[in-house]
Amino acid sequence: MRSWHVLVAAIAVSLVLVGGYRAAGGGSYAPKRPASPCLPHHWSSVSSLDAAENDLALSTLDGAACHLHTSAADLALALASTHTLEQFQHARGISDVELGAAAKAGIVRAFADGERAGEIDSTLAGILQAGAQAVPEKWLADQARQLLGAVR
Amino acid sequence: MGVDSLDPPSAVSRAGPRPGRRVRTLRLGGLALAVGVVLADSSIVVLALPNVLGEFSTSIARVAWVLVAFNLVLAVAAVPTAWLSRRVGARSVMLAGLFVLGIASAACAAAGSIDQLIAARCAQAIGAAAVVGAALELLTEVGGDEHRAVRTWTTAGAAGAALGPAVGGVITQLVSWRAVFVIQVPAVVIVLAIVWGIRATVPLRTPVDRPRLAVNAALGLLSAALTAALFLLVLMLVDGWRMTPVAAALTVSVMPAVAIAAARFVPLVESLRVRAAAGCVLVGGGLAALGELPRGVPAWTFAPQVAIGLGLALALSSLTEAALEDRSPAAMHGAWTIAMRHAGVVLGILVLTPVFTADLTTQTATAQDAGAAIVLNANLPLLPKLALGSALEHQVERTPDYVPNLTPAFRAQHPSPGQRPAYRQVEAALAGQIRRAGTAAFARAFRIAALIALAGLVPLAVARRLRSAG
Repeated sequence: MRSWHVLVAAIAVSLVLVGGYRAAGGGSYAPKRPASPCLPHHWSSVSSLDAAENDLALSTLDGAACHLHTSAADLALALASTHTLEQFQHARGISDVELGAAAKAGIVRAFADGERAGEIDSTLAGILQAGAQAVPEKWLADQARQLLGAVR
Repeated sequence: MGVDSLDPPSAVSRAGPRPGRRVRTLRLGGLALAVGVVLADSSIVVLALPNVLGEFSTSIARVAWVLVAFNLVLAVAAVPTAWLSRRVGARSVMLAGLFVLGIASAACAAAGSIDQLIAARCAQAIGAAAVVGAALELLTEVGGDEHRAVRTWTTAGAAGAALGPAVGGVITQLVSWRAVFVIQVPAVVIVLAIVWGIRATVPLRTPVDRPRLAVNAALGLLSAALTAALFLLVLMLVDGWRMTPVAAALTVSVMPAVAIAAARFVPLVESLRVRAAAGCVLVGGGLAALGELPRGVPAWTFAPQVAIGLGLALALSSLTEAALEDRSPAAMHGAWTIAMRHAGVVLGILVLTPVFTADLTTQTATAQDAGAAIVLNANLPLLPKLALGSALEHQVERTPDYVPNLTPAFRAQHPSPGQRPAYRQVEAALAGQIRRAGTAAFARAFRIAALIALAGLVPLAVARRLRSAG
């Protein structure tokens, strides 16, 4: 057998193999990045209270995460306990007031999403949003922390 | 037992009455078994490491030394023990090496702490170095044909190194990690009995040629790259894809099977240089393909394993033959190849381990985000969703260094019959993300290993006087 044929065959096999694997999706096979929380959250057709509270919670989470420039998943993981929330705040240098502002942005966003989905009347949404805007940020942050403590 | 003598150095005939063919075959088989066991030892503990880690409650960095220590000491001790073999006789060194290897293997099996295990692995490597160097000389003496002895020695070593992780994985799962070392003791005793019967010969003090640096460097680089194929692939299957050791062992057996099957056809390629270059290219191509896996499914590893197995058969034997060709004494130059191969393994582990551990951390964090998004968007009411999220978080915290096993978190939930499909959907989606993370975490290390394999072409290109006709 001519030796150089083997070398050419080895190069060809390697190129075909790597090229084939890349073409089949290699290189992009990695965990999926969660969608941006700043995009509107599409509410499911609200058929029960469970579904409504679900959508309201997810929209609030998205709005707060968007305000803090993080992902909803990241914020949800931070909300696992008061301890993880403190770690999250410390790592990102987020004060209680900023946390409250994020919660407020989340609530406002949730009512806006609900209004867009046609599940909350626009007048009611406006009143609720104005009410949320009037709540002090620090108070909201304290309430969030107390809620986490109660859940655990 | 005859006593090896230093004097007279050159006047005594090495040829005694030749033993029968059956005895010679038995002796050649025993010596090949010794070489295979010793070189399998380099990689046999790979699949046992998670169990060792769990039993001794140590860190990944510390447990990696069970692997590194053996290869490092073997690399350092190979040439000095070969020199000793020339001074006092191959049979004596082989017997001493087997004795140390047997005792050290038993000590590994009985280790009560990670430090004891690492120390016993170092002793094992010293015994292994003595055995592998002396075995080449004894194979020549028993078989009477140096060229065939080199081929037997190379093939036995390559087969041992390639089969090591699979054999270790099966034994670890079926018995325990300690059994990986226990089974070596009877193998050593059998070889000890066989070598005991070999007639002692007087060592010849022939001049020692200089080692072929370029060829040995290529061998070292190829071995560093093969670390990814022998160690990383197994780790990806077990730690990244959460396969059982036996399933992982079966999956990676494609590579040694191809290498062994291809070995008989390798001499058909005449030029050693082209054989070695084609082998490096195939190993590089196979590793690069492992770095581009499109799915986390065992079947996708088969084609790269075939390429690596072919490359292994082509390059390892050719480079070893080239390193020993026209070099005297063969045992000394065989020891140089062992030193370079295991230095390469150490280099591979030291270069690739930080890469994949860092990527594993990054990918696990990304998978955690993806997993949280899956749970958040699951078709479940808010409170069960929070309970599931909390259980998953707890499970992830329990295994911070590894890709987590989330099954216990799902078992802890008590969904209503109507919610079960949604839970199953979430579990499958999370498993998919974990497998993606477990695959992506190893991709960069495989690509780096592919480049290391291709770097082996550089010393090959500058190597002079490589045989062109086999």
